[in-house]
Amino acid sequence: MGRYIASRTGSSLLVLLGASIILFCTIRFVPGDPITTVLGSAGIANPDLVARAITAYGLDKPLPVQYVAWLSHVAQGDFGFSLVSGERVTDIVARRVGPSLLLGLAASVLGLGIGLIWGIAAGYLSGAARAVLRAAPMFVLVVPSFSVGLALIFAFAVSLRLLPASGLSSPLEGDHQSLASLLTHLILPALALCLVPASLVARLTYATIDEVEQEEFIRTARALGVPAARIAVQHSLPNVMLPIITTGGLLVSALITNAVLIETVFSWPGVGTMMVTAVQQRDYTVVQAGILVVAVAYVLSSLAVDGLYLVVDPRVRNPPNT
Amino acid sequence: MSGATAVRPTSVRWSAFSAGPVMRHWRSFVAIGVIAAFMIAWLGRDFLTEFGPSAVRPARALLPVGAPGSPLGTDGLGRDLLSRLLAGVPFSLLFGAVPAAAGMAIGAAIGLIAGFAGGKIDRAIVGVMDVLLTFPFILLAILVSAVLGASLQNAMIAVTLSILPKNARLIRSQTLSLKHREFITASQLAGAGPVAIILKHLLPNVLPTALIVASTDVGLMITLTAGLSFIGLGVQPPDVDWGVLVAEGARYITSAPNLAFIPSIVIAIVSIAFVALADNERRRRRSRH
Repeated sequence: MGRYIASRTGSSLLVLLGASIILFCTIRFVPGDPITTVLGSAGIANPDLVARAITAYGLDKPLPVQYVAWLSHVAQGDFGFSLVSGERVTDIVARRVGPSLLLGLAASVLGLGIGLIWGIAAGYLSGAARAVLRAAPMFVLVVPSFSVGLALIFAFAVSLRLLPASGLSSPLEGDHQSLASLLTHLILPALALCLVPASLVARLTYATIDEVEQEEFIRTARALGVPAARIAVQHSLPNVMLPIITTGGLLVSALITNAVLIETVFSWPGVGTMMVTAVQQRDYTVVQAGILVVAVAYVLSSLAVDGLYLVVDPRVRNPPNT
Repeated sequence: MSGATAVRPTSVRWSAFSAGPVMRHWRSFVAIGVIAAFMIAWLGRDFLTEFGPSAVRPARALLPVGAPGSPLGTDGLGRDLLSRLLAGVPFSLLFGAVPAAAGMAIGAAIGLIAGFAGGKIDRAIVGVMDVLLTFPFILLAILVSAVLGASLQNAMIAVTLSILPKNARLIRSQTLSLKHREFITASQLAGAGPVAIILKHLLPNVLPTALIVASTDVGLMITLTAGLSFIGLGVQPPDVDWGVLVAEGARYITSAPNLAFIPSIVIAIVSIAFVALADNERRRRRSRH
């Protein structure tokens, strides 16, 4: 068990280390020279000033030393200042993390719930319903999630006028959200975002049910006259949890990728829209911070999902002594 | 051959020309038909549409579906939607196909080398691929676009990198199952070098799987890359792909929903054609074994 935790944590740290090194290196490809930016075109003509600036910013040190210095700033939450607004990047990101986490959590819960019900129905129903439920996940994966978002906007915001399409204000504007307004704003984006994880979970669920139904312990239970519903709940479904946990990293990754698109569709004030706007404005420091924050979120949630293994699978908890 | 016996597909030769294969593979035929129809429509775009994709005519702005001269309607600048859809065909198809093909080619090379070499090389490659396997690719796309500028080429590089690990793992496991088969051992004993074995014996055996997976990927990539274009990281104006069209149409979602929905439906149809093609082929191979 200790070994499992150590290896998972180790590889997560490696991902973050790799991501931070790549981020540190790529920012050097950004057009323009930092010294020119700091000194201005007049100062750059003075070689003495240039030399002093290079020493002051540590640009004369070897790259690994510069990396460690950068990392220690980042670890303390210091990402520098936005190149567009001049604001502290940490403040900008801090405002955006909350809405993104809220949307991500809502979509995860919805996706898991809908996916399980969908998969169980596809596993146990028969006839036309079964065929439709089994074909549907593939359709969900090829219909773009942003199109689903637009369709929801058209149906519920434009035609029925039931729910708002966008306009969740960020705390930047000074007003605080009422819970009711927050929830009505959350419904459509969470629904649009949950479909991709839901269809992935549904596929895993019915595939596992198919597999488990062939097992001998199910046949034994059936032969002993245990009711079908009880076999499903007690013997079949617990086996579904393992494949879902195994593909947890993939689910988190699909959620993050689609969240960026869905946030854009609904003008959700989250990290995704922040990064998309920052790319358009070439606000490198904000892009850098956004990528690092999302990478950390990805690694932590994958790690948390892996941790569930310990809870669910006794084989991992108490490995046989070999 | 008399009429009575000809009805029964008794001989292999006859059944090859009967309706049998078409009926059995109707999914593949429909899928290929759909993809071919879009390509042919693109070739004949000058005959099918009255106006060019970039022709701005304010007098014809926001015409509904079925308007004379613009069967799918026009956008806020009076540009013809059908014409713009057809102009997007090569961009959308290549944006899906190039990363899928490149991701499979590079992934297969890595997988073949890792599987055949084994030992430390294999463990190192598998370690790196496992770490990269589920990393959210959109972060890579955002980073590349931020640093090198948003362009179709940069987006393709990011997407290719994202599907590489999955393919490398698949081809590696195929290679492992082939590696100890007699024909490989025989050619090793006959003195064939590792490069010759990989190219002559392993590659042809993993190729069918590779092609099927790549076809599924083309379908999924068309949807995925449309997403990149949707947020402005993919195809850049004045070029259009279907993701750009959906993004433009989203602005008119209240007044002209056809502008966003028609390109969305086209993305879904073409994606599913590629996926169905691969799916049918996979099923055919499974039933044969």
